[in-house]
Amino acid sequence: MKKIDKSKILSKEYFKWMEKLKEEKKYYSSHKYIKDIKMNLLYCQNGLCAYTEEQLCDLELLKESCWEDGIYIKSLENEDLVNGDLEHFDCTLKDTQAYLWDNLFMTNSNINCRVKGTKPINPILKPDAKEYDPFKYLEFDDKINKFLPNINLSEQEKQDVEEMIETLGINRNSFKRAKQIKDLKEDFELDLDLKEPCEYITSWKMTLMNLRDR
Amino acid sequence: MKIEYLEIKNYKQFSDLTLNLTYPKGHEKEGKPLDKICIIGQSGTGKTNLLEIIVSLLMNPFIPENTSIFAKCKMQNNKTMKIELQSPLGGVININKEQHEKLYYIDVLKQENNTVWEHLNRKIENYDNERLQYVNKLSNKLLNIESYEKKNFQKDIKEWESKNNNILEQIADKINEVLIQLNLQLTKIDKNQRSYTSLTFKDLSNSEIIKYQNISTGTKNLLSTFIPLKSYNPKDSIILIDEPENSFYPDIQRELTDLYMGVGENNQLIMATHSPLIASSFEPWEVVELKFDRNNQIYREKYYEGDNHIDNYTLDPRMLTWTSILVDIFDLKEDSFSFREKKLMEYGMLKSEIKAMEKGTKREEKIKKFKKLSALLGLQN
Repeated sequence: MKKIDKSKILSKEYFKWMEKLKEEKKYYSSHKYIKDIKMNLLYCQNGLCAYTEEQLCDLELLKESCWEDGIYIKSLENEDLVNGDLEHFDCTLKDTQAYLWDNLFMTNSNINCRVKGTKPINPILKPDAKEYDPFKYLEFDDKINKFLPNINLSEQEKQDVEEMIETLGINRNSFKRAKQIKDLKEDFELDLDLKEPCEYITSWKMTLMNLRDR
Repeated sequence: MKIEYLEIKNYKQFSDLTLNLTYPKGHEKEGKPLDKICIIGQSGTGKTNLLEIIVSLLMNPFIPENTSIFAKCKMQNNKTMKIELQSPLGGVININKEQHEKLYYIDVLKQENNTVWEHLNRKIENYDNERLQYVNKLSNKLLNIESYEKKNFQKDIKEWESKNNNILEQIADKINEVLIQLNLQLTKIDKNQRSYTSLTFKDLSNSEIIKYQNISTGTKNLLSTFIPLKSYNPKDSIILIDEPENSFYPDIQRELTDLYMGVGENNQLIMATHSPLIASSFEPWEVVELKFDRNNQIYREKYYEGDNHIDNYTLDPRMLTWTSILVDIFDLKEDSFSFREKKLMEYGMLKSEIKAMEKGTKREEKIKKFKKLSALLGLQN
Protein backbone atom coordinates (compact mmCIF):
# COMPACT_ATOMS: atom_id res chain seq x y z
CA MET A 1 0.00 0.00 0.00
CA LYS A 2 1.69 3.16 -1.29
CA LYS A 3 1.85 6.39 0.60
CA ILE A 4 -0.57 8.79 -1.05
CA ASP A 5 -0.09 12.52 -1.38
CA LYS A 6 -3.48 14.20 -1.72
CA SER A 7 -2.20 17.78 -1.71
CA LYS A 8 -2.57 18.38 -5.46
CA ILE A 9 -6.06 19.83 -5.82
CA LEU A 10 -7.53 19.94 -9.30
CA SER A 11 -11.20 19.86 -8.31
CA LYS A 12 -11.22 23.47 -7.24
CA GLU A 13 -14.98 23.92 -7.61
CA TYR A 14 -15.61 21.04 -5.22
CA PHE A 15 -13.23 22.56 -2.71
CA LYS A 16 -14.96 25.95 -2.96
CA TRP A 17 -18.27 24.20 -2.35
CA MET A 18 -16.84 22.35 0.67
CA GLU A 19 -15.50 25.63 2.14
CA LYS A 20 -18.92 27.17 1.75
CA LEU A 21 -20.56 24.21 3.49
CA LYS A 22 -18.08 24.53 6.35
CA GLU A 23 -18.84 28.22 6.74
CA GLU A 24 -22.57 27.57 6.70
CA LYS A 25 -22.07 24.59 9.02
CA LYS A 26 -24.47 22.43 7.09
CA TYR A 27 -24.50 18.98 5.66
CA TYR A 28 -25.32 18.70 2.01
CA SER A 29 -25.78 15.38 0.18
CA SER A 30 -25.64 16.56 -3.42
CA HIS A 31 -23.65 14.29 -5.74
CA LYS A 32 -22.80 17.29 -7.89
CA TYR A 33 -19.03 16.98 -7.62
CA ILE A 34 -18.67 13.22 -7.29
CA LYS A 35 -16.95 12.80 -10.68
CA ASP A 36 -14.49 15.56 -9.81
CA ILE A 37 -13.72 14.01 -6.43
CA LYS A 38 -13.17 10.56 -7.93
CA MET A 39 -10.92 11.80 -10.71
CA ASN A 40 -8.90 14.06 -8.40
CA LEU A 41 -8.39 11.14 -6.02
CA LEU A 42 -7.32 8.87 -8.88
CA TYR A 43 -4.94 11.61 -10.00
CA CYS A 44 -3.35 11.64 -6.52
CA GLN A 45 -3.31 7.82 -6.42
CA ASN A 46 -1.76 7.50 -9.93
CA GLY A 47 -4.87 5.64 -11.08
CA LEU A 48 -4.38 2.87 -8.48
CA CYS A 49 -6.58 1.45 -5.74
CA ALA A 50 -5.50 3.19 -2.53
CA TYR A 51 -5.20 -0.12 -0.68
CA THR A 52 -4.38 -2.92 -3.13
CA GLU A 53 -2.54 -0.78 -5.77
CA GLU A 54 -4.53 -2.44 -8.54
CA GLN A 55 -4.98 -0.19 -11.57
CA LEU A 56 -8.44 1.38 -11.70
CA CYS A 57 -8.22 3.57 -14.81
CA ASP A 58 -6.09 4.46 -17.79
CA LEU A 59 -3.46 7.13 -17.10
CA GLU A 60 -4.77 9.11 -20.11
CA LEU A 61 -7.81 10.02 -18.01
CA LEU A 62 -5.59 11.56 -15.36
CA LYS A 63 -3.96 14.25 -17.49
CA GLU A 64 -4.32 17.78 -16.21
CA SER A 65 -5.75 18.72 -19.62
CA CYS A 66 -8.91 16.81 -18.61
CA TRP A 67 -9.62 19.64 -16.15
CA GLU A 68 -10.95 23.11 -16.91
CA ASP A 69 -11.80 25.84 -14.38
CA GLY A 70 -11.57 23.35 -11.51
CA ILE A 71 -13.99 20.85 -13.12
CA TYR A 72 -13.24 17.49 -14.73
CA ILE A 73 -14.48 17.95 -18.29
CA LYS A 74 -13.72 14.62 -19.99
CA SER A 75 -16.77 12.43 -20.57
CA LEU A 76 -16.81 9.19 -18.59
CA GLU A 77 -20.09 7.96 -20.00
CA ASN A 78 -18.59 4.62 -20.87
CA GLU A 79 -18.65 2.97 -17.45
CA ASP A 80 -15.74 0.73 -18.34
CA LEU A 81 -13.36 3.70 -18.26
CA VAL A 82 -13.10 3.92 -14.48
CA ASN A 83 -13.35 0.97 -12.14
CA GLY A 84 -13.61 1.22 -8.40
CA ASP A 85 -15.64 3.05 -5.78
CA LEU A 86 -15.41 6.15 -3.68
CA GLU A 87 -14.42 4.78 -0.29
CA HIS A 88 -14.88 6.42 3.11
CA PHE A 89 -11.85 5.43 5.18
CA ASP A 90 -13.71 6.08 8.44
CA CYS A 91 -17.26 5.08 7.62
CA THR A 92 -18.64 6.75 10.77
CA LEU A 93 -18.01 10.11 9.08
CA LYS A 94 -20.11 9.19 6.05
CA ASP A 95 -23.42 10.43 7.48
CA THR A 96 -22.21 13.85 8.50
CA GLN A 97 -19.22 14.54 6.24
CA ALA A 98 -19.79 12.42 3.18
CA TYR A 99 -17.48 14.50 0.99
CA LEU A 100 -14.68 15.19 3.45
CA TRP A 101 -11.55 15.10 1.26
CA ASP A 102 -9.28 13.72 3.98
CA ASN A 103 -11.54 10.73 4.50
CA LEU A 104 -11.90 9.71 0.85
CA PHE A 105 -10.01 7.27 -1.36
CA MET A 106 -10.69 5.44 -4.59
CA THR A 107 -10.59 1.67 -4.12
CA ASN A 108 -11.45 -1.58 -5.80
CA SER A 109 -15.25 -2.09 -5.60
CA ASN A 110 -14.97 -5.54 -4.06
CA ILE A 111 -12.74 -4.19 -1.30
CA ASN A 112 -15.06 -1.26 -0.70
CA CYS A 113 -18.30 -3.23 -0.62
CA ARG A 114 -17.42 -6.71 0.56
CA VAL A 115 -14.13 -6.62 2.40
CA LYS A 116 -13.92 -3.36 4.30
CA GLY A 117 -17.55 -2.30 4.38
CA THR A 118 -18.29 -0.60 7.69
CA LYS A 119 -15.54 -2.24 9.73
CA PRO A 120 -13.88 -0.01 12.36
CA ILE A 121 -10.50 1.39 11.36
CA ASN A 122 -7.19 2.23 12.99
CA PRO A 123 -5.38 5.22 11.41
CA ILE A 124 -2.04 3.43 11.65
CA LEU A 125 -2.50 2.32 8.01
CA LYS A 126 -4.16 5.42 6.54
CA PRO A 127 -2.40 5.78 3.18
CA ASP A 128 -2.27 9.62 3.26
CA ALA A 129 -1.43 9.97 6.96
CA LYS A 130 1.66 12.10 7.63
CA GLU A 131 3.30 9.30 9.64
CA TYR A 132 2.44 6.50 7.25
CA ASP A 133 5.38 4.85 5.51
CA PRO A 134 4.86 1.41 3.93
CA PHE A 135 8.46 0.45 4.55
CA LYS A 136 8.12 1.22 8.25
CA TYR A 137 4.82 -0.55 8.85
CA LEU A 138 4.82 -3.37 6.30
CA GLU A 139 7.00 -6.05 4.82
CA PHE A 140 6.23 -8.34 1.92
CA ASP A 141 6.72 -12.11 1.87
CA ASP A 142 7.11 -12.90 -1.83
CA LYS A 143 6.85 -16.66 -1.25
CA ILE A 144 3.29 -16.45 0.01
CA ASN A 145 2.41 -13.18 -1.77
CA LYS A 146 1.37 -11.46 1.46
CA PHE A 147 1.96 -8.13 3.13
CA LEU A 148 2.77 -8.61 6.82
CA PRO A 149 3.35 -6.25 9.76
CA ASN A 150 6.96 -5.15 9.83
CA ILE A 151 9.01 -7.26 12.24
CA ASN A 152 10.51 -4.14 13.84
CA LEU A 153 7.18 -2.79 15.12
CA SER A 154 6.08 -3.15 18.74
CA GLU A 155 3.75 -6.04 19.55
CA GLN A 156 0.75 -3.69 19.80
CA GLU A 157 1.61 -2.03 16.49
CA LYS A 158 2.05 -5.43 14.83
CA GLN A 159 -1.38 -6.45 16.03
CA ASP A 160 -2.94 -3.17 14.84
CA VAL A 161 -1.25 -3.44 11.43
CA GLU A 162 -2.28 -7.07 11.06
CA GLU A 163 -5.90 -6.14 11.73
CA MET A 164 -5.76 -3.25 9.29
CA ILE A 165 -4.19 -5.42 6.55
CA GLU A 166 -7.26 -7.60 6.89
CA THR A 167 -9.71 -4.68 7.12
CA LEU A 168 -8.37 -2.86 4.07
CA GLY A 169 -8.08 -6.10 2.06
CA ILE A 170 -4.48 -5.33 1.13
CA ASN A 171 -3.83 -9.00 0.41
CA ARG A 172 -7.12 -9.61 -1.41
CA ASN A 173 -7.57 -10.10 -5.19
CA SER A 174 -3.85 -10.63 -5.33
CA PHE A 175 -3.41 -13.18 -8.13
CA LYS A 176 -2.34 -10.52 -10.58
CA ARG A 177 0.15 -9.29 -8.00
CA ALA A 178 1.49 -12.81 -7.55
CA LYS A 179 2.03 -13.11 -11.31
CA GLN A 180 3.87 -9.81 -11.37
CA ILE A 181 6.10 -10.96 -8.50
CA LYS A 182 6.77 -14.26 -10.29
CA ASP A 183 7.79 -12.32 -13.43
CA LEU A 184 10.05 -10.05 -11.39
CA LYS A 185 11.78 -13.05 -9.79
CA GLU A 186 12.29 -14.69 -13.18
CA ASP A 187 13.71 -11.46 -14.65
CA PHE A 188 15.95 -11.04 -11.61
CA GLU A 189 17.25 -14.61 -11.92
CA LEU A 190 17.91 -14.07 -15.63
CA ASP A 191 19.64 -10.78 -14.88
CA LEU A 192 17.27 -8.89 -17.20
CA ASP A 193 16.52 -5.16 -17.04
CA LEU A 194 13.95 -4.61 -14.29
CA LYS A 195 11.27 -2.08 -15.16
CA GLU A 196 9.08 -0.71 -12.39
CA PRO A 197 5.51 -1.83 -13.09
CA CYS A 198 2.52 0.50 -13.17
CA GLU A 199 0.59 -1.33 -10.42
CA TYR A 200 1.40 -3.25 -7.19
CA ILE A 201 4.51 -1.09 -6.91
CA THR A 202 5.12 -1.48 -3.16
CA SER A 203 5.14 -5.29 -3.29
CA TRP A 204 7.43 -5.09 -6.34
CA LYS A 205 9.88 -2.78 -4.53
CA MET A 206 9.84 -4.91 -1.36
CA THR A 207 10.39 -8.12 -3.35
CA LEU A 208 13.33 -6.50 -5.08
CA MET A 209 14.76 -5.61 -1.66
CA ASN A 210 14.21 -9.21 -0.51
CA LEU A 211 15.94 -10.58 -3.61
CA ARG A 212 18.92 -8.29 -3.21
CA ASP A 213 19.19 -9.22 0.49
CA ARG A 214 19.26 -12.97 -0.24
CA MET B 1 -21.91 -33.34 -39.14
CA LYS B 2 -20.20 -30.65 -37.08
CA ILE B 3 -21.32 -27.12 -36.22
CA GLU B 4 -18.81 -24.49 -37.32
CA TYR B 5 -20.70 -21.25 -36.78
CA LEU B 6 -23.61 -20.16 -34.63
CA GLU B 7 -25.31 -16.78 -34.42
CA ILE B 8 -28.20 -16.17 -32.01
CA LYS B 9 -30.21 -12.97 -31.74
CA ASN B 10 -32.89 -12.26 -29.14
CA TYR B 11 -33.34 -15.77 -27.82
CA LYS B 12 -33.64 -16.26 -24.05
CA GLN B 13 -30.54 -14.62 -22.46
CA PHE B 14 -28.75 -14.27 -25.81
CA SER B 15 -29.38 -10.86 -27.32
CA ASP B 16 -26.54 -11.06 -29.81
CA LEU B 17 -24.13 -13.97 -29.58
CA THR B 18 -21.82 -15.14 -32.36
CA LEU B 19 -19.71 -18.26 -32.00
CA ASN B 20 -16.97 -19.21 -34.43
CA LEU B 21 -16.50 -22.92 -33.80
CA THR B 22 -13.59 -23.62 -36.12
CA TYR B 23 -9.88 -24.17 -35.46
CA PRO B 24 -7.90 -20.91 -35.61
CA LYS B 25 -5.18 -19.93 -38.06
CA GLY B 26 -1.91 -21.79 -37.64
CA HIS B 27 -3.65 -24.94 -36.36
CA GLU B 28 -3.23 -28.16 -38.33
CA LYS B 29 -7.04 -28.24 -38.67
CA GLU B 30 -7.30 -24.51 -39.48
CA GLY B 31 -10.81 -23.54 -40.59
CA LYS B 32 -12.28 -26.96 -39.86
CA PRO B 33 -15.08 -27.32 -37.30
CA LEU B 34 -13.94 -28.08 -33.76
CA ASP B 35 -13.89 -31.77 -32.77
CA LYS B 36 -14.79 -30.97 -29.21
CA ILE B 37 -16.22 -27.93 -27.46
CA CYS B 38 -16.35 -27.11 -23.76
CA ILE B 39 -18.97 -24.56 -22.74
CA ILE B 40 -18.29 -22.88 -19.40
CA GLY B 41 -19.67 -19.85 -17.61
CA GLN B 42 -21.34 -18.96 -14.36
CA SER B 43 -24.93 -20.00 -13.70
CA GLY B 44 -27.40 -18.07 -15.85
CA THR B 45 -25.06 -17.47 -18.78
CA GLY B 46 -26.97 -20.01 -20.87
CA LYS B 47 -24.77 -23.10 -21.12
CA THR B 48 -27.68 -25.53 -21.03
CA ASN B 49 -29.78 -23.24 -23.25
CA LEU B 50 -27.02 -23.29 -25.82
CA LEU B 51 -27.14 -27.10 -25.91
CA GLU B 52 -30.94 -26.94 -26.22
CA ILE B 53 -30.70 -24.40 -29.03
CA ILE B 54 -28.46 -26.77 -30.98
CA VAL B 55 -30.98 -29.58 -30.57
CA SER B 56 -34.00 -27.47 -31.48
CA LEU B 57 -32.12 -25.78 -34.32
CA LEU B 58 -31.41 -29.09 -35.97
CA MET B 59 -34.46 -31.09 -34.99
CA ASN B 60 -37.35 -28.75 -34.30
CA PRO B 61 -36.79 -25.40 -35.95
CA PHE B 62 -39.23 -23.33 -33.94
CA ILE B 63 -38.36 -19.78 -33.00
CA PRO B 64 -40.09 -17.17 -30.87
CA GLU B 65 -41.05 -13.74 -32.18
CA ASN B 66 -38.24 -11.44 -33.39
CA THR B 67 -35.61 -14.09 -32.80
CA SER B 68 -33.07 -15.05 -35.38
CA ILE B 69 -30.70 -18.00 -35.32
CA PHE B 70 -28.17 -18.78 -38.00
CA ALA B 71 -25.87 -21.77 -38.10
CA LYS B 72 -23.42 -23.36 -40.49
CA CYS B 73 -22.68 -27.05 -40.20
CA LYS B 74 -20.08 -29.07 -42.05
CA MET B 75 -21.55 -32.36 -43.26
CA GLN B 76 -19.56 -35.58 -43.56
CA ASN B 77 -19.51 -35.17 -47.36
CA ASN B 78 -17.72 -31.85 -46.72
CA LYS B 79 -20.74 -29.84 -47.89
CA THR B 80 -21.91 -26.96 -45.74
CA MET B 81 -25.46 -26.91 -44.45
CA LYS B 82 -26.72 -23.45 -43.61
CA ILE B 83 -29.65 -23.08 -41.26
CA GLU B 84 -31.22 -19.67 -41.01
CA LEU B 85 -34.20 -19.17 -38.77
CA GLN B 86 -35.68 -15.73 -38.86
CA SER B 87 -39.24 -14.63 -38.56
CA PRO B 88 -40.72 -11.43 -37.16
CA LEU B 89 -43.73 -13.45 -36.00
CA GLY B 90 -41.92 -16.56 -34.86
CA GLY B 91 -43.19 -20.10 -35.40
CA VAL B 92 -42.05 -23.27 -37.10
CA ILE B 93 -39.65 -22.65 -39.92
CA ASN B 94 -39.22 -24.98 -42.86
CA ILE B 95 -35.59 -25.32 -43.80
CA ASN B 96 -33.72 -27.42 -46.27
CA LYS B 97 -35.91 -30.45 -45.66
CA GLU B 98 -33.84 -32.75 -47.79
CA GLN B 99 -30.84 -32.48 -45.48
CA HIS B 100 -32.91 -32.33 -42.32
CA GLU B 101 -34.75 -35.53 -42.98
CA LYS B 102 -31.46 -37.36 -42.66
CA LEU B 103 -30.93 -36.07 -39.14
CA TYR B 104 -32.22 -37.78 -36.05
CA TYR B 105 -31.95 -37.08 -32.38
CA ILE B 106 -31.60 -39.50 -29.50
CA ASP B 107 -31.78 -38.45 -25.87
CA VAL B 108 -29.89 -41.39 -24.41
CA LEU B 109 -30.58 -40.39 -20.83
CA LYS B 110 -34.34 -40.31 -21.32
CA GLN B 111 -34.52 -43.75 -22.84
CA GLU B 112 -36.12 -46.47 -20.81
CA ASN B 113 -33.80 -49.11 -19.42
CA ASN B 114 -35.47 -51.73 -21.61
CA THR B 115 -35.08 -49.66 -24.77
CA VAL B 116 -31.33 -49.40 -24.26
CA TRP B 117 -30.89 -53.12 -23.78
CA GLU B 118 -33.33 -54.02 -26.58
CA HIS B 119 -31.32 -51.81 -28.87
CA LEU B 120 -28.10 -53.42 -27.68
CA ASN B 121 -29.57 -56.89 -28.06
CA ARG B 122 -30.56 -56.18 -31.65
CA LYS B 123 -27.01 -55.09 -32.35
CA ILE B 124 -25.65 -58.21 -30.68
CA GLU B 125 -28.05 -60.44 -32.63
CA ASN B 126 -27.04 -58.80 -35.89
CA TYR B 127 -23.41 -59.29 -35.03
CA ASP B 128 -23.96 -62.94 -34.09
CA ASN B 129 -26.00 -63.65 -37.25
CA GLU B 130 -23.46 -62.03 -39.52
CA ARG B 131 -20.64 -63.87 -37.81
CA LEU B 132 -22.49 -67.15 -38.10
CA GLN B 133 -23.11 -66.63 -41.81
CA TYR B 134 -19.47 -65.87 -42.36
CA VAL B 135 -18.35 -68.89 -40.33
CA ASN B 136 -20.70 -71.11 -42.42
CA LYS B 137 -19.24 -69.69 -45.60
CA LEU B 138 -15.71 -70.39 -44.41
CA SER B 139 -16.68 -73.89 -43.22
CA ASN B 140 -17.90 -74.71 -46.71
CA LYS B 141 -14.64 -73.44 -48.07
CA LEU B 142 -12.74 -75.62 -45.61
CA LEU B 143 -14.68 -78.68 -46.67
CA ASN B 144 -14.50 -78.10 -50.40
CA ILE B 145 -11.18 -76.46 -51.09
CA GLU B 146 -8.16 -78.56 -50.35
CA SER B 147 -5.65 -75.72 -50.18
CA TYR B 148 -7.79 -73.88 -47.64
CA GLU B 149 -6.58 -75.09 -44.27
CA LYS B 150 -7.68 -74.67 -40.67
CA LYS B 151 -5.08 -71.97 -40.07
CA ASN B 152 -6.54 -69.97 -43.01
CA PHE B 153 -9.97 -70.42 -41.49
CA GLN B 154 -8.82 -69.06 -38.11
CA LYS B 155 -6.98 -66.18 -39.72
CA ASP B 156 -10.07 -65.16 -41.72
CA ILE B 157 -12.30 -65.29 -38.65
CA LYS B 158 -9.88 -63.10 -36.73
CA GLU B 159 -9.73 -60.63 -39.60
CA TRP B 160 -13.53 -60.50 -39.80
CA GLU B 161 -13.77 -59.87 -36.07
CA SER B 162 -11.24 -57.07 -36.26
CA LYS B 163 -13.23 -55.38 -39.01
CA ASN B 164 -16.64 -55.85 -37.41
CA ASN B 165 -17.66 -54.27 -34.16
CA ASN B 166 -18.45 -56.49 -31.25
CA ILE B 167 -20.38 -53.95 -29.28
CA LEU B 168 -20.12 -55.84 -26.00
CA GLU B 169 -16.35 -56.03 -26.16
CA GLN B 170 -16.12 -52.40 -27.16
CA ILE B 171 -18.25 -51.27 -24.24
CA ALA B 172 -16.29 -53.37 -21.78
CA ASP B 173 -12.91 -52.24 -23.15
CA LYS B 174 -13.75 -48.55 -23.12
CA ILE B 175 -15.53 -48.47 -19.79
CA ASN B 176 -12.83 -50.55 -18.10
CA GLU B 177 -10.23 -47.92 -19.02
CA VAL B 178 -12.07 -45.63 -16.60
CA LEU B 179 -13.32 -48.20 -14.09
CA ILE B 180 -9.76 -49.28 -13.37
CA GLN B 181 -9.35 -45.92 -11.59
CA LEU B 182 -12.07 -47.09 -9.22
CA ASN B 183 -10.40 -50.47 -8.77
CA LEU B 184 -13.27 -52.02 -10.71
CA GLN B 185 -13.60 -54.09 -13.84
CA LEU B 186 -16.78 -54.84 -15.73
CA THR B 187 -16.83 -58.64 -15.79
CA LYS B 188 -20.13 -59.81 -17.09
CA ILE B 189 -21.82 -58.22 -20.04
CA ASP B 190 -23.33 -60.75 -22.37
CA LYS B 191 -25.98 -61.13 -24.97
CA ASN B 192 -28.56 -62.21 -22.41
CA GLN B 193 -28.24 -58.89 -20.68
CA ARG B 194 -31.65 -57.32 -20.13
CA SER B 195 -30.88 -54.49 -17.71
CA TYR B 196 -28.08 -52.74 -15.89
CA THR B 197 -28.91 -54.63 -12.69
CA SER B 198 -27.48 -57.91 -13.99
CA LEU B 199 -24.08 -56.34 -14.68
CA THR B 200 -21.32 -57.53 -12.36
CA PHE B 201 -17.93 -56.10 -11.51
CA LYS B 202 -14.67 -57.38 -10.12
CA ASP B 203 -13.10 -55.49 -7.23
CA LEU B 204 -9.48 -55.39 -8.38
CA SER B 205 -8.16 -54.91 -4.86
CA ASN B 206 -9.46 -58.30 -3.62
CA SER B 207 -10.94 -60.01 -6.74
CA GLU B 208 -14.39 -60.10 -5.16
CA ILE B 209 -17.42 -59.82 -7.40
CA ILE B 210 -19.65 -56.82 -6.84
CA LYS B 211 -23.22 -56.56 -8.04
CA TYR B 212 -24.49 -53.50 -9.92
CA GLN B 213 -26.74 -52.57 -6.97
CA ASN B 214 -23.68 -52.16 -4.76
CA ILE B 215 -21.58 -49.86 -6.94
CA SER B 216 -21.46 -46.09 -6.36
CA THR B 217 -23.91 -43.53 -7.75
CA GLY B 218 -21.14 -42.01 -9.86
CA THR B 219 -20.27 -45.37 -11.43
CA LYS B 220 -23.94 -46.05 -12.13
CA ASN B 221 -24.22 -42.62 -13.80
CA LEU B 222 -21.18 -43.38 -15.91
CA LEU B 223 -22.62 -46.69 -17.09
CA SER B 224 -26.09 -45.35 -17.73
CA THR B 225 -24.68 -42.55 -19.90
CA PHE B 226 -21.87 -44.35 -21.65
CA ILE B 227 -23.53 -47.69 -22.43
CA PRO B 228 -26.57 -46.22 -24.25
CA LEU B 229 -24.35 -43.76 -26.08
CA LYS B 230 -21.89 -46.46 -27.11
CA SER B 231 -24.73 -48.78 -28.13
CA TYR B 232 -25.45 -46.40 -31.03
CA ASN B 233 -21.77 -46.30 -32.00
CA PRO B 234 -22.23 -42.68 -33.06
CA LYS B 235 -20.51 -41.61 -36.27
CA ASP B 236 -20.44 -38.13 -37.84
CA SER B 237 -22.74 -37.06 -35.01
CA ILE B 238 -22.95 -34.19 -32.56
CA ILE B 239 -22.83 -35.45 -28.97
CA LEU B 240 -24.21 -33.01 -26.42
CA ILE B 241 -23.61 -33.60 -22.71
CA ASP B 242 -24.70 -31.27 -19.93
CA GLU B 243 -22.62 -31.35 -16.75
CA PRO B 244 -20.85 -34.67 -17.39
CA GLU B 245 -18.99 -34.25 -14.08
CA ASN B 246 -22.05 -34.89 -11.89
CA SER B 247 -21.29 -37.38 -9.09
CA PHE B 248 -17.74 -37.99 -10.28
CA TYR B 249 -14.65 -37.73 -8.14
CA PRO B 250 -11.93 -35.48 -9.71
CA ASP B 251 -9.74 -38.35 -10.97
CA ILE B 252 -12.65 -39.70 -13.04
CA GLN B 253 -13.60 -36.22 -14.28
CA ARG B 254 -10.16 -36.03 -15.88
CA GLU B 255 -10.94 -39.11 -17.98
CA LEU B 256 -14.40 -38.12 -19.21
CA THR B 257 -13.42 -36.09 -22.26
CA ASP B 258 -11.27 -38.91 -23.66
CA LEU B 259 -13.96 -41.46 -22.84
CA TYR B 260 -16.67 -39.59 -24.75
CA MET B 261 -14.34 -38.67 -27.60
CA GLY B 262 -13.69 -42.39 -28.01
CA VAL B 263 -17.35 -43.34 -28.08
CA GLY B 264 -17.52 -43.35 -31.88
CA GLU B 265 -15.94 -41.91 -35.00
CA ASN B 266 -15.63 -38.37 -36.30
CA ASN B 267 -18.13 -36.90 -33.83
CA GLN B 268 -18.32 -33.40 -32.45
CA LEU B 269 -18.45 -33.55 -28.65
CA ILE B 270 -20.07 -30.53 -26.98
CA MET B 271 -20.05 -30.47 -23.18
CA ALA B 272 -21.37 -27.81 -20.81
CA THR B 273 -19.51 -28.00 -17.51
CA HIS B 274 -18.58 -26.36 -14.22
CA SER B 275 -15.57 -28.62 -13.81
CA PRO B 276 -12.09 -27.10 -14.11
CA LEU B 277 -10.72 -30.62 -14.56
CA ILE B 278 -12.87 -31.23 -17.62
CA ALA B 279 -12.08 -27.76 -19.01
CA SER B 280 -8.37 -28.48 -18.65
CA SER B 281 -8.51 -31.20 -21.29
CA PHE B 282 -9.57 -28.77 -24.02
CA GLU B 283 -7.49 -26.69 -26.38
CA PRO B 284 -8.06 -22.96 -25.71
CA TRP B 285 -10.01 -22.41 -28.97
CA GLU B 286 -12.29 -25.28 -27.98
CA VAL B 287 -13.45 -23.48 -24.84
CA VAL B 288 -16.57 -21.32 -25.16
CA GLU B 289 -16.62 -19.22 -22.02
CA LEU B 290 -19.89 -17.32 -21.67
CA LYS B 291 -19.88 -14.20 -19.55
CA PHE B 292 -22.13 -11.28 -18.61
CA ASP B 293 -20.97 -7.86 -19.77
CA ARG B 294 -21.72 -4.68 -17.81
CA ASN B 295 -25.17 -4.50 -19.40
CA ASN B 296 -25.89 -8.10 -18.42
CA GLN B 297 -25.61 -9.29 -22.00
CA ILE B 298 -23.93 -12.60 -22.74
CA TYR B 299 -20.70 -12.64 -24.72
CA ARG B 300 -17.92 -15.13 -25.41
CA GLU B 301 -14.66 -14.36 -23.62
CA LYS B 302 -11.72 -14.13 -26.03
CA TYR B 303 -8.51 -15.94 -25.06
CA TYR B 304 -6.45 -14.28 -27.80
CA GLU B 305 -5.27 -10.82 -28.71
CA GLY B 306 -5.41 -9.49 -32.28
CA ASP B 307 -5.89 -12.08 -34.98
CA ASN B 308 -7.46 -15.46 -34.16
CA HIS B 309 -4.16 -17.31 -34.59
CA ILE B 310 -2.81 -20.04 -32.30
CA ASP B 311 0.23 -17.88 -31.51
CA ASN B 312 -1.97 -15.06 -30.22
CA TYR B 313 -3.65 -17.09 -27.47
CA THR B 314 -2.71 -15.95 -23.97
CA LEU B 315 -4.48 -18.75 -22.08
CA ASP B 316 -4.29 -22.49 -22.52
CA PRO B 317 -6.23 -24.61 -20.01
CA ARG B 318 -4.00 -27.62 -20.72
CA MET B 319 -0.98 -25.71 -19.41
CA LEU B 320 -2.49 -24.51 -16.13
CA THR B 321 -2.64 -26.04 -12.66
CA TRP B 322 -6.12 -26.70 -11.29
CA THR B 323 -5.81 -23.61 -9.07
CA SER B 324 -4.75 -21.44 -12.01
CA ILE B 325 -7.69 -22.71 -14.06
CA LEU B 326 -10.05 -21.67 -11.28
CA VAL B 327 -8.49 -18.22 -11.21
CA ASP B 328 -7.64 -17.53 -14.85
CA ILE B 329 -10.53 -19.28 -16.56
CA PHE B 330 -13.27 -19.66 -13.98
CA ASP B 331 -12.50 -16.15 -12.66
CA LEU B 332 -12.37 -17.09 -9.00
CA LYS B 333 -11.13 -14.07 -7.05
CA GLU B 334 -9.47 -16.01 -4.23
CA ASP B 335 -7.73 -19.38 -4.13
CA SER B 336 -8.88 -20.26 -0.61
CA PHE B 337 -11.13 -19.18 2.22
CA SER B 338 -10.13 -16.32 4.52
CA PHE B 339 -9.08 -18.86 7.17
CA ARG B 340 -6.14 -19.93 5.00
CA GLU B 341 -5.34 -16.28 4.28
CA LYS B 342 -5.07 -15.62 8.01
CA LYS B 343 -2.93 -18.69 8.54
CA LEU B 344 -0.64 -17.60 5.68
CA MET B 345 -0.15 -14.28 7.44
CA GLU B 346 0.65 -16.18 10.66
CA TYR B 347 3.17 -18.27 8.68
CA GLY B 348 4.82 -15.17 7.23
CA MET B 349 5.02 -13.45 10.61
CA LEU B 350 6.48 -16.56 12.27
CA LYS B 351 9.12 -16.73 9.55
CA SER B 352 10.10 -13.09 10.14
CA GLU B 353 10.26 -13.66 13.90
CA ILE B 354 12.46 -16.76 13.54
CA LYS B 355 14.86 -14.89 11.28
CA ALA B 356 15.25 -12.15 13.90
CA MET B 357 15.65 -14.51 16.88
CA GLU B 358 18.86 -15.68 18.55
CA LYS B 359 19.50 -19.42 18.59
CA GLY B 360 17.96 -21.13 21.61
CA THR B 361 15.00 -23.08 22.97
CA LYS B 362 12.42 -20.40 22.16
CA ARG B 363 13.58 -20.25 18.57
CA GLU B 364 13.42 -24.05 18.30
CA GLU B 365 9.83 -23.99 19.55
CA LYS B 366 8.94 -21.37 16.96
CA ILE B 367 10.60 -23.43 14.22
CA LYS B 368 8.58 -26.48 15.23
CA LYS B 369 5.37 -24.44 15.09
CA PHE B 370 6.44 -22.94 11.76
CA LYS B 371 7.15 -26.34 10.19
CA LYS B 372 3.81 -27.72 11.34
CA LEU B 373 1.97 -24.70 9.94
CA SER B 374 3.90 -24.94 6.68
CA ALA B 375 2.81 -28.57 6.29
CA LEU B 376 -0.80 -27.77 7.11
CA LEU B 377 -0.76 -24.97 4.52
CA GLY B 378 0.64 -27.38 1.94
CA LEU B 379 3.69 -25.17 1.43
CA GLN B 380 6.21 -27.98 1.75
CA ASN B 381 5.14 -29.49 -1.56
